[in-house]
Amino acid sequence: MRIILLKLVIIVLFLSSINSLYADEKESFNIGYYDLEKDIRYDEWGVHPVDIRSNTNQLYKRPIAGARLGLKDIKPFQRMAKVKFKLMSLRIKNIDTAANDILNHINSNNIKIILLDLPVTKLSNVVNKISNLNIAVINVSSKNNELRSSNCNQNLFHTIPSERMLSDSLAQYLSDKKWRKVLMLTGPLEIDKAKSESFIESAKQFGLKIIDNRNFLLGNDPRARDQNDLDFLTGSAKYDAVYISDTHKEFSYRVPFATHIPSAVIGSSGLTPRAWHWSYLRHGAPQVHGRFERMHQRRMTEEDWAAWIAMRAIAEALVRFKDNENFSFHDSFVSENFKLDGSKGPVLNFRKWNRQLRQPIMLSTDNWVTSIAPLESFVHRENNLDTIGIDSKTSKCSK
Amino acid sequence: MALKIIKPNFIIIFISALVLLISSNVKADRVVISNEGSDDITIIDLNTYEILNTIESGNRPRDMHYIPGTNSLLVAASEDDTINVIDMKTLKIIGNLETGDDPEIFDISPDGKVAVVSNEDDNEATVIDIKTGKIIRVIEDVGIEPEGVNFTPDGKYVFITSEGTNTIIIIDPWKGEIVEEVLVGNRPRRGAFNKNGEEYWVTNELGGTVSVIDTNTFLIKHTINFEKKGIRSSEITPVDFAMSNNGNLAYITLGRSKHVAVVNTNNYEVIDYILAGSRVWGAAITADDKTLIVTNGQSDDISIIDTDKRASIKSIAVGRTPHTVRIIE
Repeated sequence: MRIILLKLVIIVLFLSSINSLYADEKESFNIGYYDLEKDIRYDEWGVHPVDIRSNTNQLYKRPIAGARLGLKDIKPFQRMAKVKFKLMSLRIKNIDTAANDILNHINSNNIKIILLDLPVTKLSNVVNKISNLNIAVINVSSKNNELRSSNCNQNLFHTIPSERMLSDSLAQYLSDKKWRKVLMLTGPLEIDKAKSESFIESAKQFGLKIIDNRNFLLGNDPRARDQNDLDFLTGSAKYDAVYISDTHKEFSYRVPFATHIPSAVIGSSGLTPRAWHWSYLRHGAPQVHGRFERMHQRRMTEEDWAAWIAMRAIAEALVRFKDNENFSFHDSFVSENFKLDGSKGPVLNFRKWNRQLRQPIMLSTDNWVTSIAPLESFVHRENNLDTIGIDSKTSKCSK
Repeated sequence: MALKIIKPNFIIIFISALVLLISSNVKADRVVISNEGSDDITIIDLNTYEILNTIESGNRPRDMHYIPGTNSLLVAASEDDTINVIDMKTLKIIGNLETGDDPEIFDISPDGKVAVVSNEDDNEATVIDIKTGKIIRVIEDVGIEPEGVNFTPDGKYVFITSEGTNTIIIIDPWKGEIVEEVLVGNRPRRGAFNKNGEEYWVTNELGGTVSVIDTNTFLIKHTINFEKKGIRSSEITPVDFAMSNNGNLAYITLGRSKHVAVVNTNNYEVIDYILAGSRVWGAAITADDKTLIVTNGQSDDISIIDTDKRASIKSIAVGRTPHTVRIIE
């Protein structure tokens, strides 16, 4: 009898091991995704009437597309993680109740970790509201520097690079090229000013000289020519490069090849720093682009990449660390042994001090990645990727 | 005869000896290199290191295997979605094998009849009848971005490295089934069998390590780490293998670090690091184990390495982005 029982146990064990490989009856692992119905960053617009009507200018640019590709890409991890991944999204209609809506959605759907695509003001609000749940939050779109330096939250991780990482990348490039004299043009929005401030910090760090910082305005008013006319804006100065911060991009698109003296244009147009660009050809990036375009019929943006890599980070942490005692995403993400493949070259992992994903930045034109930061000539005692972004000394997050 | 994928067994050694006897009088030993950037194949005399020919292949040629019996070289032309069959006497493309989308790495069954190729974009492996050039079956869901493909020496199974899933997926190509899956390091690129198939070695490009899998238990029995003064760990990106024919040494190309590691296969210790070119990746070794040849993907050349001196003795400029090297002896 005992032997029969033993055999039965062995058979059951055997069957269950097969199950874990092939069957779909695994514990569901729910990932929350939240964004806003009205988000100025995804406003529909086009500079040119043809652009608006054209199919190639896809207006639906929400990064949830990246999360959906991520979900598809991490499905093969289910065999190893022994869970079934599920992406549960909610688009928030009323900004004022966003934090509560998200809290309720998390609680009623047994959500284990969340991705947020919110502007910085709403994001802080939500993160603070759900702080008690102690659930890891991955920010996939806000580049705000304060979230990585002074206004931190121990649950908040960032896969999108900070403004500072982007501006440091540009500064490294200019420094490497010895194009040290920079004229700055700053847009009217708060977010434009924040970008410019970040660039000023980067310029200081990498030894660039800012010869002037001028404000521009989109318009044709002849009384404001000093702010809307490029010859005035870029005249009476000597510089090697013109930096422009313009979130809307409508003004900055006209700057390259239109400066008063011959000059490189960088920032919001010309050479732009991005977490990801579709034209990158190495390190397995074309495969990711290909999968994304087949799924969504549009180019993959840097926010798409940030959402995609967030999903991969979740799967990677589960596969490698789930069996550890006291498993938490918080600890796994910042572990020395956490190694993420973002199809950008080096291994990626999160900075311990502000939970920002370390990553190379692509310095790209509209159709080519011209250079990758960190540039080779910039080295760091521990990790060269830390030559860009807010370092452990400047960040007050862990203090 | 130095098909690096086939571990020495007596029949093969016998056949190779025969082939060697017949062919050595006719043609010099040759080195072939696929240049994925310039869409051609460089043929070099193994003895004089002179470039004999540069022949056109399909678009984006990558992995290659030589079939001694038919004197033909199979070349995966990734952008053309095919494997070119090149006759090594006339140096002409005499046929093409169906492969499915974007074939990169493939392997040939020990009996030389069947090829299995990884289709990176479709997460599939395709089994092909070499004689007819037709697809026998497609195995789906072999992980994200499958790359390395190796037949077990007994020809029963195929091991596939899945770059995006960080696993080795073991398939039965004859039944078209997935048999087992083993978690390894990050971005597993290529594999090689050792000790008559008792061990399967895998390069983890991003993890910077090599996992040694026990093929009986499917457990990782050892992880090889690489450390060299002056090289940052992030630059150690292992890609390809050349296993010595005497079974004692493994040469592992370390990508961005510009070095090739020499590993003792008996105790897994790294004995030495040999300087090669920029982004060294493809590797092949001569039958006498005296010469190692590696491709340098970013400096458009190959390095010839003397394995006794453990030093590069010559570099030869080839086409753009040299990918795979094979030695035909």
